[in-house]
Amino acid sequence: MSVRYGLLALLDEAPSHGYNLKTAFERRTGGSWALNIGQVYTTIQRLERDGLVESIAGAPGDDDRREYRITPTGHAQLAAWFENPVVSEAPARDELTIKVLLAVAAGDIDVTALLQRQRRASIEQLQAYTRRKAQADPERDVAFLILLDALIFRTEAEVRWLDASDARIRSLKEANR
Amino acid sequence: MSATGAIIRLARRDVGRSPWRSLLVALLILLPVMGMAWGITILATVMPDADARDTHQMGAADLIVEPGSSAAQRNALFRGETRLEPVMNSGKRLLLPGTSANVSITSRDLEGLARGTFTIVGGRQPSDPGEVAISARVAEITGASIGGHVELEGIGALIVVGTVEDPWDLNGRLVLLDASIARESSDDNAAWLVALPEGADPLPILEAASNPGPTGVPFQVNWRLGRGRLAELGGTAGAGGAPTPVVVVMGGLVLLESALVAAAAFAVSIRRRQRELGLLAAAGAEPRHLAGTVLGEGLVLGLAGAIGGVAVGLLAAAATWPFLDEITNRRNPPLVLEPVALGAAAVIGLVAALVAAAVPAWSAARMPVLLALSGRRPPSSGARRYLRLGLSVVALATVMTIGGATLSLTSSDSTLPVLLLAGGAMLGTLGFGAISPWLLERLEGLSARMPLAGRIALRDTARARSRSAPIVTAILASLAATIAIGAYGASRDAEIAANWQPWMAPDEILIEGPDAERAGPNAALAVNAVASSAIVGAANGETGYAWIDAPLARLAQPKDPPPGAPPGFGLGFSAHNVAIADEQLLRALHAEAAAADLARGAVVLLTQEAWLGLDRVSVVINDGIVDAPGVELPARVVVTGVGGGNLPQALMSAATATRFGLTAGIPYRFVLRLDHTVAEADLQGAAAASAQFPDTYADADRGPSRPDDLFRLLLVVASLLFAVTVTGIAVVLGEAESRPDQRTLLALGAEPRLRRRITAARAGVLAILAGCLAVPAGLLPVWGLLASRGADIVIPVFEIAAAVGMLPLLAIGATWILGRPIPDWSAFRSSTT
Amino acid sequence: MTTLVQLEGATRWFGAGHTQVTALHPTSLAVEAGELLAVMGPSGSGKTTLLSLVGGLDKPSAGRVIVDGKDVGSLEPKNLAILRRRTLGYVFQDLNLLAGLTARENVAIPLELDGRPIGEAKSAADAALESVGLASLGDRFPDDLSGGEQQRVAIARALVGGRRILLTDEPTGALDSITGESVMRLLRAHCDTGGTAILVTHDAAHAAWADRVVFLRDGRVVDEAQPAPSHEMTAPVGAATGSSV
Repeated sequence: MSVRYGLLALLDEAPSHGYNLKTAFERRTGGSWALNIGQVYTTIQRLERDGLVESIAGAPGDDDRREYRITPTGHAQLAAWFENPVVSEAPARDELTIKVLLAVAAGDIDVTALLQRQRRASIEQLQAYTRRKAQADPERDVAFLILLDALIFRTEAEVRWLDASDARIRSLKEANR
Repeated sequence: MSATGAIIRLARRDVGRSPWRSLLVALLILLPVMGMAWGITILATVMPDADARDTHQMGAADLIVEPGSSAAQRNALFRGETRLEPVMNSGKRLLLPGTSANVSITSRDLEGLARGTFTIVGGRQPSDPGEVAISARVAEITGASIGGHVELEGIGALIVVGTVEDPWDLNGRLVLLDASIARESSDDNAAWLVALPEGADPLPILEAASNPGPTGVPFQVNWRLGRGRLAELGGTAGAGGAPTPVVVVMGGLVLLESALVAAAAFAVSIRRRQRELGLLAAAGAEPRHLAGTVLGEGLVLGLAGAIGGVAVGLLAAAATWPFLDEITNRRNPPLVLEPVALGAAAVIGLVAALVAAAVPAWSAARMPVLLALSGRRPPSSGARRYLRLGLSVVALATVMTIGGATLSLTSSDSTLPVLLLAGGAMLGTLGFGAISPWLLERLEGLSARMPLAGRIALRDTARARSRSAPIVTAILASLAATIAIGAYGASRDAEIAANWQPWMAPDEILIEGPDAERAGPNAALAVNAVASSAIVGAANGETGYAWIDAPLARLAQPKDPPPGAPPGFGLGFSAHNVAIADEQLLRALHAEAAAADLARGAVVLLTQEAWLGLDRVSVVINDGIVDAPGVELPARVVVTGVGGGNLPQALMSAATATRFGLTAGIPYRFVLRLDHTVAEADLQGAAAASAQFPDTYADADRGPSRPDDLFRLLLVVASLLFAVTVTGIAVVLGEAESRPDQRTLLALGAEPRLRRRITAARAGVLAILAGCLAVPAGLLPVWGLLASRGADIVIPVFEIAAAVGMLPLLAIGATWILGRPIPDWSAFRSSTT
Repeated sequence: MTTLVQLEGATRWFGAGHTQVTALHPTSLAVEAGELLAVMGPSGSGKTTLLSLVGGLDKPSAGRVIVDGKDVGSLEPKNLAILRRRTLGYVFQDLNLLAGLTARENVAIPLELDGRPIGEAKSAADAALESVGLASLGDRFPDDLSGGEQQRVAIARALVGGRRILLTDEPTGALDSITGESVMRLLRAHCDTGGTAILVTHDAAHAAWADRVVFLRDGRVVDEAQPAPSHEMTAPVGAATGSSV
């Protein structure tokens, strides 16, 4: 979803080739989001199919040489996307959540150790983000910093969820002691 | 409402949450209330009420007919069932081996109507004219005990059968004779105790006593005022033990001090509860609710202090009671409780607590909610305002002081001047105290270069204005009072010394008493007197005397003559104290140069100052009722510089006295002249030599008395103690706020003793400030008082040195010694983990 | 690399007998120059105890704590105080500043305590304030500073006089995230220029500024985290963000 709108946003600024779009996208996201060139072309084809972009030059068979530009429909949809808040899907269906839930249910798995392993991993991830943040220029790289903040806060939320789960299990154990 | 309930719960909880501060506030109220309760109870106990006075005077009788009534009058007045019993009181000399002593003798039936006037505490009362009961003091003088004998001049030896006590004078020399002696006394000597029959009307008796008719002689009747049937006739029976205004005024002053210190404690309480009050306000509490929490605390603590103070005061009075008899030299009744006065003391204490809480309560009510929630210290209003306020109050106080002093010279009623003077002094103190925030702010500017501890202390003191201002005022008040009393005392001493008139030469000792003539020679030997002589007055029969008159004499240098008056304006010389002198007496009185004049028949005049042309005087003989015409004699003036009536002012030789028919009077004085100024040891030697004569004493002129010195010293010590205590309290209160700072300093690598330095510096700031402000605050009212009557003020150097020098040293020293270092880190653990 | 802080089996217990509570079990740990170490753990896990031991505010019941080559446990109180004011800088969560002193005076305290002349201490304080971006606020009193400014003054004070070891106990606890970040940047900068800092926190985002994160639990080090050695940015893994569709 976000790649789709990311490319659309780039094309809204100026018409571009597929490969240029890939590098621009990666630059915009601070290298945190590596795109496969194939993914770029697939996305562009879908956009074209939906009438949001159109090709303006180059042979139809040569993806590398074709240049695309945004259509009025595409511009309208992009504007709508920017205006509407992003709502995450309600139930947590990610792997970690399910893993922890299953471990708690299983009973014979050391959940505390599992949580700590995950906590370490998350913090190491946070450290990596933070290092990038420390190296970023707060004036020139605002978009990048905002992206990093997004990642950091999500990961932090995860750590807090881990802490809370840990505390719950701990108090349960103490109550049963 | 539930809001009120919540607020009272909060106030109560805060009392419990900071128990030491609460205890301090309660104690501040308790101690002065205790003092008042103690004072009220002790005074009520030792000051006899009307009934006790009546009982001491007339025992169980309804009235007493004073000596002078005739048997006929009594018979006419008191008939039927009326009981009469005589009482005789007189003085006699108790004969002792080689001497005698004055004693009071009395004759009455202590088992009759006179019961309760005196008490038989051992043996029995005499039942036969040959028997007596004696007081403990008489037993001590005579060495006689029950079964022994005492000898009274003119009566003879009597058997001691009991020990009697005058409950109002435990040390008195009292001899109780048999009651029959009173019955045989003349009407002029006997008083009569009267018990009226049930239902008798006392009014005709009282009327008849004062209007005895054309032939009778009026006699005096005193009737029982304290209680009973006759009390309503008496008007002012009154409750004897009402608390004196002194107790209330002193207690009020102490409570003012307490209120100031308590106000500081409440200010700390507000500061600590600031956020909580903010939360209350945010939750919709109105200003009056917020003020209510603080006032509620004041109410709770004030009640505790007031009730506790009365209770502890009563306990203290009970503890003092066993010693009262000895101190007052009387038998005191069981403790007398004065519920109204005690209640008043408690109410004053409670009011003081509420007043102390009022200012912090007001500031709590006024604090903006957001500020309260932030926990930050409220911004202090401009210090200049305090300066203006303080100066205006001081100006008003000065006006009051000068007004009071001026009024005291012109007005006969002393209440208003005293109120003005006391109020002026108190207002002045408060005014100078109000200046302290401004001064602190000035000082703060200087602090930038101070060492860390001093700077922290000064800044904290300046910022915690609501706490430090009342503390400074409290300290300053006690010091100012001491300085004022010191200045007044010193000025009065200087005035007295300037006007001092010696009544004896500095090398003379006077022995006075019935045995002076016998004690004198012993004393003269004991102190190596260079001259000594009995002083024998010139007497004319039993009651007659001589006096010397020179109406035209003029003093060479009169004091304060009216402008333009000639020297000696309006003066004349006279002397009532004429003695018959020989050369010994002349020498002893520094008049040996006049020996030849005395011998040639002149009157020698011993005067304080030189008189102009006083070479003739007239000798006037009085026969006890009227003066005879004066007879002129030559006179010789000897200026001894000694005035007053203790020594004779005029001397004549025995031959001259005989010429006028004068005889030697009783020699009850004896003068010694030493070859040096009388020292304490000399006086004690002379006293010891006369000690065997119980009624004879030795005395000397030791110059203007300086009784104030010890008093002033005690006052200084007391006010210093108070000031140091209050400083300590203030420092402890401040410490409560400094915990986070201590933690920070410890973590920053401060050595633990830094806290001591800060503590001592805090004490120093308060003490120096209060000490310096106390000097003008103390001197101002005294200056006003003295200036209004043209007297000079003497600067009380000792008190001022104590205030500005000793107090800071003591305060710094005491807090340094008692102060504690920053505690171990573990003390702060709870606040960080 | 120089080891500035070293714990060798450092243990701290309180009380004795069956009321004995062990706040920190034997712990060994070394912090190098240039390293920012975060200590994480739930409340009561012994984080603050560990920090107090390193800070010379508390002594180990057993084991050794070596700070800048000195065995803290064997130092006299006077030398401990000297260590605190010359080598260590402490920053608490709040109430760091003496309310009666200006920002500049607060920063100058350690130097004054060390006996430096007031003038010198104050100019050093101004330099330290400038380094935390508060050069213009030296004359303000703490009550007139925002929370973030107060913490930055506290850090300036912890660093003034060239001290190398910074000990911080939840220094960002009361701050919003951007203000907290500015405080963390100061810590990071301190370590990147050769200093050392220990950060006690339970906030993962702040701990992430550290080179190494130590996890404490019930008074024991249970784990340690270090960032991936590569500086390459990798896409969020697995369920870490849930952002991919």
